Amino acid sequence: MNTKHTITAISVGLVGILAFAGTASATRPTGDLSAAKAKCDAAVAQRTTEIDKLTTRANSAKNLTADHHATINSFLSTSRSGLVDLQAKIDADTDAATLKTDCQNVASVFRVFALRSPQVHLAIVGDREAAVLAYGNGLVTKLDVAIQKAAANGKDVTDATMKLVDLNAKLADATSLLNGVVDAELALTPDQWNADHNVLSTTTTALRTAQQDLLAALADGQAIVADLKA
Amino acid sequence: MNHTATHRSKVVRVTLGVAASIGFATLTACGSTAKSSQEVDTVAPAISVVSDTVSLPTDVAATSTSSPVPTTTVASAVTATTTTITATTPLKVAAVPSGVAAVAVIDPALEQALKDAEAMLGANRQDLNDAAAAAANGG
Repeated sequence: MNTKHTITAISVGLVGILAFAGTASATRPTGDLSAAKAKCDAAVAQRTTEIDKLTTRANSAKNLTADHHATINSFLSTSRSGLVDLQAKIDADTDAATLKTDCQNVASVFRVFALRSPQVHLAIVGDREAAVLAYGNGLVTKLDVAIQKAAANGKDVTDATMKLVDLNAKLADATSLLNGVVDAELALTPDQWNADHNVLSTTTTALRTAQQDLLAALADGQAIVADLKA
Repeated sequence: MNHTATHRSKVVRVTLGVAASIGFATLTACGSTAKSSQEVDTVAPAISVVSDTVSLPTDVAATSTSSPVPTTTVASAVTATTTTITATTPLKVAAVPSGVAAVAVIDPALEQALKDAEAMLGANRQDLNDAAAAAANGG
């Protein structure tokens, strides 16, 4: 008897606890969701602000090609409108699980900081390097003409000629590195970044190396000018 | 006695006459020498013309016109001037300011283009840093 009564009492107690828990779960969302929604809204606001900055940055980038500019504007615009839609959904969420998923999507679906921002900056870098490369190729001809003139005037142009050879090699390397690199990095999607967080590393390395090549080429050019003027 | 005195007087006159003739001749000769020295003056312009014909590189032609060449001088100075002209050709090239020779071979736009390109690459550093900072921020 005692054992039977004890089991019954425990059962009733568990039912009561579960019933209380269920009631608590049903009444908790309003307060807790508001706090969570505020955090999600802040995350959205950070990203829309960043997108606006990136749009302004791209618009002021003189060397950005029209095609790249259009691509950037397209994914920034899509991201912004997607975030606005997501914020509306978040504000309307009534359960924690949905809110949690939506809030995670603010980052994972758009990857504004991890992917879009670097994409824009790297595209600006790449197109600027391409512009410098075109500049450099034009300089090669002028430097070559200057060296020929100096040689005709009886000047020893051995060093200048060697520097021009090195300059050409640096420009050739930069040309290889920049070939299609911006197109490729602008085509990357948030899904690709989610699958491989190092998806931009190849582009970043190529652009940094091209930067060093171009700086070295310019140094060669300046050395040639100094040599011919000496 | 009077005859002897008269004869001596004639001898003196003849002697004086001869002396006068010699003196005149000497003076004439001196005048002739002086005249030949003055003829040197006409040589100087000829040297001046020679100096103008010295060929110089076209990029330093402007400096040759400012070279002072004496138009009137004595014989010894003419020699010195001639020597100077001979040595002028290489010296003038060496005396040109370093930038002048470069003007002929270095297009001014070339140097500016190099500076512009360097400035462009300088701006790239900021964008590379911004890209890295954004990526590090995540999300």
